[in-house]
Amino acid sequence: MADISPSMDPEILSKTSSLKIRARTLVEGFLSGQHKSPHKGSSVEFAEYKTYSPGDDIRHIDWKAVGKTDKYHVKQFEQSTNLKCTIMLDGSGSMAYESPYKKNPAINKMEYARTLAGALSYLILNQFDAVGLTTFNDKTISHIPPRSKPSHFQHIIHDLENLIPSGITRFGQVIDSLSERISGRGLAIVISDFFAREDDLIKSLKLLSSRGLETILFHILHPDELHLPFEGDVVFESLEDDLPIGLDPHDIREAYQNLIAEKIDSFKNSFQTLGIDYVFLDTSKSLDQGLNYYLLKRKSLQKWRS
Amino acid sequence: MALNFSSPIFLFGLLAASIPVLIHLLTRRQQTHIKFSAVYLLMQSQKRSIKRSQPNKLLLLLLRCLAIAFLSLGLAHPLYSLGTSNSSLPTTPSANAIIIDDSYSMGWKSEKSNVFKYAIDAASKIIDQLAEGSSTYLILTSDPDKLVEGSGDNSKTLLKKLKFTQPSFLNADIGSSFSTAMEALESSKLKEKRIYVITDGDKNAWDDSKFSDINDRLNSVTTTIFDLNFLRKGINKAAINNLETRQEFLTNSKFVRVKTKIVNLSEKKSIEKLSVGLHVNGKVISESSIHIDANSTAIKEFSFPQFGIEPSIGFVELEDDALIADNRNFFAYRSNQKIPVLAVDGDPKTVATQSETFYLERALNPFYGSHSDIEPSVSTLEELPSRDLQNFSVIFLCNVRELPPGYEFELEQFVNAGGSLFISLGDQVEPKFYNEKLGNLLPVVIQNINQALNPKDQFKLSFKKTDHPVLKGFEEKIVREMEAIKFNSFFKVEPRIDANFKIPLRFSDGTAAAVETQFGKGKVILFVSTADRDWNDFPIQPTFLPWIQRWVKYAAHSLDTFSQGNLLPGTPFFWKGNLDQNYWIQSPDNKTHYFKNPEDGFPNTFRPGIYRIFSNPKSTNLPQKNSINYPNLPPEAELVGTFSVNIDSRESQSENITENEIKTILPLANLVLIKNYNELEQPTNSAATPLAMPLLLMAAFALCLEGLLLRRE
Repeated sequence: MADISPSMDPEILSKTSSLKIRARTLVEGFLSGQHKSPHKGSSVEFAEYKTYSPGDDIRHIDWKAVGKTDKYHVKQFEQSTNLKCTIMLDGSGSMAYESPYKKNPAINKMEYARTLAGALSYLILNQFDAVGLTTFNDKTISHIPPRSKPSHFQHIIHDLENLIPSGITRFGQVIDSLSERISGRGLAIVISDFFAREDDLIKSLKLLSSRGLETILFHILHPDELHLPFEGDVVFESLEDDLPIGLDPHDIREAYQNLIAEKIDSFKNSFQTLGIDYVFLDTSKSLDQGLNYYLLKRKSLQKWRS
Repeated sequence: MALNFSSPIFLFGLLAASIPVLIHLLTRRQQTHIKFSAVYLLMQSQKRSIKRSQPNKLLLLLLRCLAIAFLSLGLAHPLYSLGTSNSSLPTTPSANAIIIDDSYSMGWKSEKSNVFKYAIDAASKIIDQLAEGSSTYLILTSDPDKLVEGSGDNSKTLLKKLKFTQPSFLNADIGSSFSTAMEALESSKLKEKRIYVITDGDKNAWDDSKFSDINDRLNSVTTTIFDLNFLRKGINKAAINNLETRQEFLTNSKFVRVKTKIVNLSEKKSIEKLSVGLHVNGKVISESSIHIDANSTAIKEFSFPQFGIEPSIGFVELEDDALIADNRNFFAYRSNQKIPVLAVDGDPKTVATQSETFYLERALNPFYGSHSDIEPSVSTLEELPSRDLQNFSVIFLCNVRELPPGYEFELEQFVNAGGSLFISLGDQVEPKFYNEKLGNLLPVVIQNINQALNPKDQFKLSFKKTDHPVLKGFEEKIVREMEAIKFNSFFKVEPRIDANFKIPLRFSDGTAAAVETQFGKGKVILFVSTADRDWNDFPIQPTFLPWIQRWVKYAAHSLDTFSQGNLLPGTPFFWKGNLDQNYWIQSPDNKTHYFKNPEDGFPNTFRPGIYRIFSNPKSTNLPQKNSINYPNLPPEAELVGTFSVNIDSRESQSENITENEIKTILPLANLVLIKNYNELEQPTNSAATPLAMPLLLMAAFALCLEGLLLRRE
């Protein structure tokens, strides 16, 4: 944590009350404007020439250059605003987890997810891409379609701030309905703790990529959910719909840690196979990890495009 | 089916089983509630985890509690038995009379000391199992008239005391005990009435004549008889049923012969070598072995020399067998003791018959043989200083004019130490000397001679009814003869001021014929006439001999000494005491009993052994009643007699009473006869299974398991 800039420290961020300021501070501290839209198209901004090859649109042949060089060149332009990104934020009860220990440095999981979603929205809008937000639990709570207007950020922040975690997590139905709403190519960013008791969780997420959406999964867990640091006789009451359970965490700590590690490994392997990007974040870690991953992904998309 | 505990005090240890629970409760962590996101994962983890600390804690707690509980139960020595004793005990409040046979045959050896111990345990068990509100009456067959009544506590207290005692030395009287029990039960308002008899089933205790009064009343009572005969271990081989002592006269030495009759109690088996020993005055005098044929009696005789005047006290003892009480028989023998008497002749003559002591000497030892109890020696006044007075019990001064100078002090010393002085007067006597020099010894002043001038005026003795030991034994005929004795002369005496004396014999005119006084431990007797025929014809009268001999024996304290033979335990001892004397009896257990009036009898003869009788002159500061356990025997008390108490060996020849015989004796009774000790749920019964070891092993196992679980944690 020592190498994290103050603007990225989750603890410091958590003390900032406004999500909007938090997101902007995070992005502005992180960005220096070097990023580009990975998609090339017929935008106003010229990008480069390309030797004509059959199949290229003849409307893009630069006839002036033909006259000068007697060679057919096709003009290429940067299409910086045509990315449609949809952020899916898990608003189920489990996201409301916060440590019972006041001195725990890790921030509330929901706050972390909100900040990440806000920061990503701000970053995307800054790049003149369109960003939308869908919050859900076992169904869609709210949906903001992607827009690229800077003022759109205000809508997203509003929804994020008003999101109260509740209910259980069910991806299947939500993704079904969402995939119908999202048209064409785009980017889907899913932020969740993935505490869903669905057998077809991976199958549901696969639906996103199969629709031609680039998908990034941010798996967010609180350190307590990783390490189970509690002591004594504890009655665990579920934030979703599980029955309470009384036990000594000492007895199951090892088994739990193994189980959660297995789960993370299983996600990592399964999503890699499906071509879905999977990023694991624990709330004690800096948020720039998430932003970084997004930028890297965008860059790779640019290269892929070029 | 029952569970009994030999040491129930350890059951308090069960309370300690709560200690782990208390520790658990006191150290229990506060349960916290945490809202958690992945509870379903916790459930899955719990299924996968091998650790179970919460159940383990409860298991550990349980094991610790069990270990303590098992330990307590094990130390309490539980005995598990399958019995049906409850059927013999009432479940509702009841009046219960428990008759315990404490006859000496109950001292028969058994696994637990003797059968009597089992009987006490059985009685305790019955009392413990009685329903609340029941009343209990306890009767011992040795003392059937005595009843201990209580709601349980009194009886328990008595039973506790009895636990540390041995059975009595008496025979059982179950019939009389039944009468006492019935009287007690009939006075009770409770409807349910029961009699329990705990006995060794000896037939001798069931005298059917004693049941005749109560037989028709017994149908209202349930009678349960516990026959503990089967608990007897070993054989009662032999018993002494008679012992006689007598003195041998064939030798010059004094030998005492002890003759015992020893019974072989077996009807079939002869005893090849039975060790018999004679113990006298604390020493083993003789030991030998005898052979006795089956069902027969052997006679064994011992003899031993007797020295001194103290009685020989001892016992004959057989080797130990199953019943020890009948192996010993006590005796006390006091041989006739010669009383050495010194007669000082104040008027010796060359013709023997004219000497002052001629008649006296013959009266004291009429046949010159060794059979007489009195051994007289005659001395002249000149020889007197050369005589050692300590060798004599009684000294006669017969018509002595005056003693050698200073000799009166020796006489005073002699009498003070317990010797006796008998003074007869005569014409030689110088009253002045007697009155001046022997003033300490004589309570009277000798005055002038009273002389009858005419035969008609001769003086005669007068007898009134008296308790004086010397005179009270004389028959009427002898008294009449003595009243005919003629006295020509005698010295008149006048009492000294403040003198303490008795006048056991008077003349018909009331003047004193004899004066007696106590000086120190001894006696001084003054006869105011002569011991020869000079002043009277008494010496030639037939009554002179017993009269003078009795005086000697009285003076030498041997008149009332006696040794009395066998008494049975519990039989009162009667003897004719002297009203002037106090009497104490020392029993074999060294307790001293004071007896104000011996003629009432001494009842505390419950213990076999030798009882010693002591006496001393009466004093005023003694209890007005007979007193048992008088603190100390007065130092001046003298041993005057002994008697022995020996058991009645009837119960030695033991025969177990049968159920039919009991039914014949008690035809109307609702009878339950129990010959199985299990039915008393006695913990010591061999049929009961001891559970101590399994419980202790279980405690150890629980501790090991607890250790293993801790190690796994």
